[in-house]
Amino acid sequence: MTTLDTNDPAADPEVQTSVFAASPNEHKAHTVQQVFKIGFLAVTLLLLIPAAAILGVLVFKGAPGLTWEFLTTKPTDNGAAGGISTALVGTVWMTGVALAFSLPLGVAAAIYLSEYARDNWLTRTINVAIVNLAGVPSIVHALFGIGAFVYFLEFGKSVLAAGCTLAVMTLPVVIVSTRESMQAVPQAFRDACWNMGATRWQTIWKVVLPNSGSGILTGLILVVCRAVGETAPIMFTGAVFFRQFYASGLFDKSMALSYHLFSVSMHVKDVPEHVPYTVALTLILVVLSMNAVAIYFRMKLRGKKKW
Amino acid sequence: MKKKSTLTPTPRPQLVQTHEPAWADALDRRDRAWALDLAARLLVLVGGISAILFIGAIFLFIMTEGLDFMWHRMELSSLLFGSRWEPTVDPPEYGALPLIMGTVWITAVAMIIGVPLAFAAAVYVGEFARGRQREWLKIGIEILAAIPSVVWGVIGLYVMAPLIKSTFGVQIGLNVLNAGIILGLMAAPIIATIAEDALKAVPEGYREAAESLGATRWQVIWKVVLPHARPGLSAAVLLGVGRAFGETIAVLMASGHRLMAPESVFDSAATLTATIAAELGEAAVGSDHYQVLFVLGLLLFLITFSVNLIADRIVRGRKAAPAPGAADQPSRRVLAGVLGILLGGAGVHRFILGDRFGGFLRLFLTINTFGAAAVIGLIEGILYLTKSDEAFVQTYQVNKKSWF
Repeated sequence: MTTLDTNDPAADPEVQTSVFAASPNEHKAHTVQQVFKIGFLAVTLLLLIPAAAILGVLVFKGAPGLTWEFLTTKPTDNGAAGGISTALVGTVWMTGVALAFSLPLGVAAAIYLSEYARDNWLTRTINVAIVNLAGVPSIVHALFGIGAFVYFLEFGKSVLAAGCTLAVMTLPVVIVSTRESMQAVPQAFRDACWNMGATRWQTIWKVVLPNSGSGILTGLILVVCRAVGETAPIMFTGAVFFRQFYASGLFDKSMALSYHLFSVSMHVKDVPEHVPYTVALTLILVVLSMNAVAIYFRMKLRGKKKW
Repeated sequence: MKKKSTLTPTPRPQLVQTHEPAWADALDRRDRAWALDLAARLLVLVGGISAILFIGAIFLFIMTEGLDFMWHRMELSSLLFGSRWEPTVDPPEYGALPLIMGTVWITAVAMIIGVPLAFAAAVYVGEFARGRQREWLKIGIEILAAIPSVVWGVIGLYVMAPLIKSTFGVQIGLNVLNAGIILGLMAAPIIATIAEDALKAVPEGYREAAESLGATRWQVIWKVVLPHARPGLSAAVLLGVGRAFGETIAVLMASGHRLMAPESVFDSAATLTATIAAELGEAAVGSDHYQVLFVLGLLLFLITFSVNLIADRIVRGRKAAPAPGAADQPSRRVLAGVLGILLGGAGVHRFILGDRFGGFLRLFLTINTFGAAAVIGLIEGILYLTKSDEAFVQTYQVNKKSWF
């Protein structure tokens, strides 16, 4: 605490010039603060440099191969040549299935937790379950998907099984983001609605939900980002190594973008050097553009809010 | 008649209300809106409970797939401490120690790299940065968090590996260091976000009080904010550990996947998660190899479950201020809860609570049911961890409740 002590002016005539002049100790404290501030900024940037470097490397090495033709032709030669169209379509299928299950379920859970739940053991257990569901390793989700969807429900290795596995994995994301935005709706809105004689559900449907659209949208985007990027949960439940056909339905297998990237960089022989970078660039462009939309909506809505 | 009554003006107030006003029955009428409300209530309740159902289902399905092997042919000690993982030679060896060591090494390197970076970022973004600069830094951290793990794997494989080879002059670029750096960078945004929340939770009044005494911004952070936010910061580290520990694809690609315990950071290694991902495709469905991979999955699930529970408890537990005089004795809730989940079959959590009879009883039950009664310990552990500290002390340490 010595740095906080101020010198006694009487004992040190030199600093008596003004009562408000900074003492040497205060000067020192200020220097220390500046040093730490700059140091912490440097370390923060050290964390962000890799992000920039990764994007740079991917663009530099992958952009030349990223043509319309690459996106729209089917892969050949185990994925070493040709395009990625079947993988892209497969990813859209799986992400769609994941959204179809996790969004309604997640929003329902968020409504329950935000609007109905009291602070009792059930609510606490649900919260604990959500935290844990978010923390379960992705490969454990894959094992669950195999046991529950592929064999027990007999979906087989299919787009449906992969999508359901992704849905379970992304459920906490939807719940947390929706619940947060619902709790941000002022209590006065609900009170006003109840005073008009509306039921709880009418209040939720007409007032709370429309005012928490940003949270639901953010949840949706985050689900897409996770579902597009995850590899482990789909590699045993529905994604295949190489296939030249588009998925014909929910019970068909398909290639997927993330698993395709994994196999061209790990297992396929004689892949031209730029192919993994190009696939990675495609993947990251999808994810980052979705994120950009989420950030844009968040900022726009924050500016618009009246409460 | 009822419809009309809502339209007529409210009757003039009378001094003595002899009967209910005409509109009173509209309040609890069971009309369409009422039915819709009830249906919605049930529907969202199902949604809320689904999270619990899924956690239970994950545990159940993974356990049943590996059950046959666990029951009849597995020795826990040789699985956990056996030093050879050779599932494809004859006779196969299932000793997961090399995988556990690989996981520990890589997670440790990841935390050594990730935690300082994340904490510095959290302090800068939360306490120093203002306005536009702060927004941009936050977006940067979000971008880092959004990079999919398979892309991180590609970076490890093609960018980091040559870099490590040339920088340190080693033969193999795919090693513990490579995977550790990748995982550290992957975990850092998560740790930073939770750590920043912890800093934000420190009341503004504390900062103002310190500043009014003449403290500089840094003195406020170092002497006031950080000590106060310590539980939240440790929870952030725990969740980061959980993340690094459970990461699969990036580690599989960057670690070199060598099924031996690493001896330095420049050795290739294999983790539990990567081994499951690498071998599940080759193992015949229902074979011992297939089942032992599910047992590893169960182990992963239980470990991340406990880590997450502890982290959640630390965050949540500190939010409510302890009631005065409630805790005369220290709470053994976390210890007992975690031991109940992991070693509940041996009754360890009851011994911890000073209930020697209960402990022996559970041990006896477990042995006589060939392990099935270990579920009791698991459930009890979860129940302990969902209670608050005060309620736990009251229920189990003061009143000595003996079951559940």
